Amino acid sequence: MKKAMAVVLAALMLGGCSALPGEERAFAVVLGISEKSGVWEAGTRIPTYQTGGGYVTISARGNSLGEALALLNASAPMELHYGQLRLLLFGKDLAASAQFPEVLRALSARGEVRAQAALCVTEDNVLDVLDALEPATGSRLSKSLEAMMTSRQSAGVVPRITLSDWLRMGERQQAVLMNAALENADNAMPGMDAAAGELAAKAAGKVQLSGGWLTNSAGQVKASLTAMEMQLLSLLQGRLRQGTLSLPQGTATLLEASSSMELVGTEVQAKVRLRYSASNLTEEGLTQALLDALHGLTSKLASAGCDALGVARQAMAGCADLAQWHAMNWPERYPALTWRFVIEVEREA
Amino acid sequence: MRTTSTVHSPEERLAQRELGERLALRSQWRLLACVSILRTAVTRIMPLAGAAAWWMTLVCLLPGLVLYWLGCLGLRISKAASLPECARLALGKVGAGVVCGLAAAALAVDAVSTITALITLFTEGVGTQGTQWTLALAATGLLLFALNGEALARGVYFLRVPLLVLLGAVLVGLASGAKLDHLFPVLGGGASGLWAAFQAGAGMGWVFLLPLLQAPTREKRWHEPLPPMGLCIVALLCLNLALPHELLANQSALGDCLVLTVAHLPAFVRLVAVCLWVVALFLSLGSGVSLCAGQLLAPTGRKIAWLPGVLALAVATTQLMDIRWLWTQLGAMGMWLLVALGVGAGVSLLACGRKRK
Repeated sequence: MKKAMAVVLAALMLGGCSALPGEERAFAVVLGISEKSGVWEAGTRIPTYQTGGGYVTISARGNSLGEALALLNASAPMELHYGQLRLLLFGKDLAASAQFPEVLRALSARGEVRAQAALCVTEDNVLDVLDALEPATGSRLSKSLEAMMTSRQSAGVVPRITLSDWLRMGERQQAVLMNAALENADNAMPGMDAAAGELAAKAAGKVQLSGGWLTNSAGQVKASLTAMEMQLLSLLQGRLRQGTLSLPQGTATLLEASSSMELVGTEVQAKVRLRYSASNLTEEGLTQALLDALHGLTSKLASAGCDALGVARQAMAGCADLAQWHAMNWPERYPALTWRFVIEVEREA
Repeated sequence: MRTTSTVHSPEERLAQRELGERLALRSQWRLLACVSILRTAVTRIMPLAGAAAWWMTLVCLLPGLVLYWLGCLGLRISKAASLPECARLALGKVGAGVVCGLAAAALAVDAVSTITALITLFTEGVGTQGTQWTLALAATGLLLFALNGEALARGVYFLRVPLLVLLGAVLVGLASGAKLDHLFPVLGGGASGLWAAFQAGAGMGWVFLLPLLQAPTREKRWHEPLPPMGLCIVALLCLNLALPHELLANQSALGDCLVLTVAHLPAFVRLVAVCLWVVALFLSLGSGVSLCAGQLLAPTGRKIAWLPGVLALAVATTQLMDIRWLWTQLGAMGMWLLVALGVGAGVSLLACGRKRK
């Protein structure tokens, strides 16, 4: 009897498996979407599955997103599968348009699109960026992208918001999306205060992931953050605890960092604690530099209407139901909030 | 479950076997209760109550819980071991038949809801290629193997710990994405949404009356519904912590509601969750059909081996109907299941009490 049950259960659990062999299916690593003057362009980076490896970009255009994706699948050498997507790349014009939130919802409604794919926006041509994506280390683009995003995120210079994260933010927080830019010979501006496309930095690949794009309550991209500003945001979010923190006045090696935030009426009281070493800044100098930088960052967030720190989560806790929350009109209330920072720094001798 | 021993007398062995069968039946009932409560909560209460779903489910279960406790008190006063026995003492075979018939009808309706959810999960969750009817036939075909004698009851008893472990893994996966503010706003969409959720879910406590249909496994039975109820509330709380109100309240279709419970889990945990849903729905379907057959035959005292299989096929034929229309009709029956069983139990207990006086 137990064996019969085991057989039944095994058959049941395996009932969902598809019989399509690996060689007859192409696992897309990156999906890129852009839109201009009503023409939608969808492109994807897939492995060639040939000896020696390599990747190829295929693309299609349609009069709607659905049509472009259908044409992409119809013209691909094999059936496309989006279950291994690592990156969802969007053109900046599309990301700044009112259609962008609906595009994200439409993609999430397609069950085969991997919800853990990171969202990314580029000012460059989407297909050019796809073409430039090659494995920087090893032979697998998916692994290379994962490693790149993880190291950038550890350094605090990029946000990593997945499709699932974006959906689960709801009305409580606005996302900051990763910025991607093509490296070119004109990249000459030194320092982390430059935009991704201007950074005087050469990575192993030809695409630079650096900084972020601020979205407003309607889900549209409104402004960008440099790598330096992104680090400060990561510090406030509690994601940056160690590493090198860059400020206009100098750098500091963080040994320990923590932050907390409380909404009191119309004021946000934020506390930042740092322990650092190897810096040209004294404790007073670092405190002042941080205060100036954080005020600049929060002003930028407020101007863009981007509640990247999720202050709304605390505001919602005081509302009994959704109607009361909507009556609060958070998108108008948030930019008017004042910020008070308490910085505690300790330099290691 | 040990049923034979060289040191026990035949009477002791018989008593052990009967206790083992009652324990297996209790496992079946608990599985059916958990699946029925979670299925109703996820597909009917959550879209209406949103962030308030976990405590709204608790409120919806209270009528059934109160009826169960009143039933326990009535059985204690009337000195009957079960509701059918009480009905037989008071109203004769017809009375017992009516009580068992009502229970069988409730179990049959629940089985139809379960198979509808199972087929929807296959088509929209797993993405299995096939029509509603062919998948129902495939599931029923497998079910016919599992309905062999006492295999299903013992299989459910055997699997209770592995299923709980898998559920634990899924809840840990949900908790990894949990945020405390997802429990707010506390009242969800407001009073109108909560009232609609209550109307949709108030009848789901009918499952708590099922243990009153058989003799208890222990002397005290008042706490019998608490383990499945507690487990379901904890699971729903984890789900509410993982997903915000804005995401929960936007779902309207059956498939969307079921898929939402697994969509935002990490990849491997998602696979475990889908498997758990499929296995739990399948075993609950089998348990419902098996218990329904048991209730239909209880007044006669006979055993018909092929009856559960016939009932399973009958339940499968409901999948020839339009799934959306079927789901709406099943939802409308929810409250009446509790009312019917409650009235049947109440009448039996009152009549028995009067007869003893």
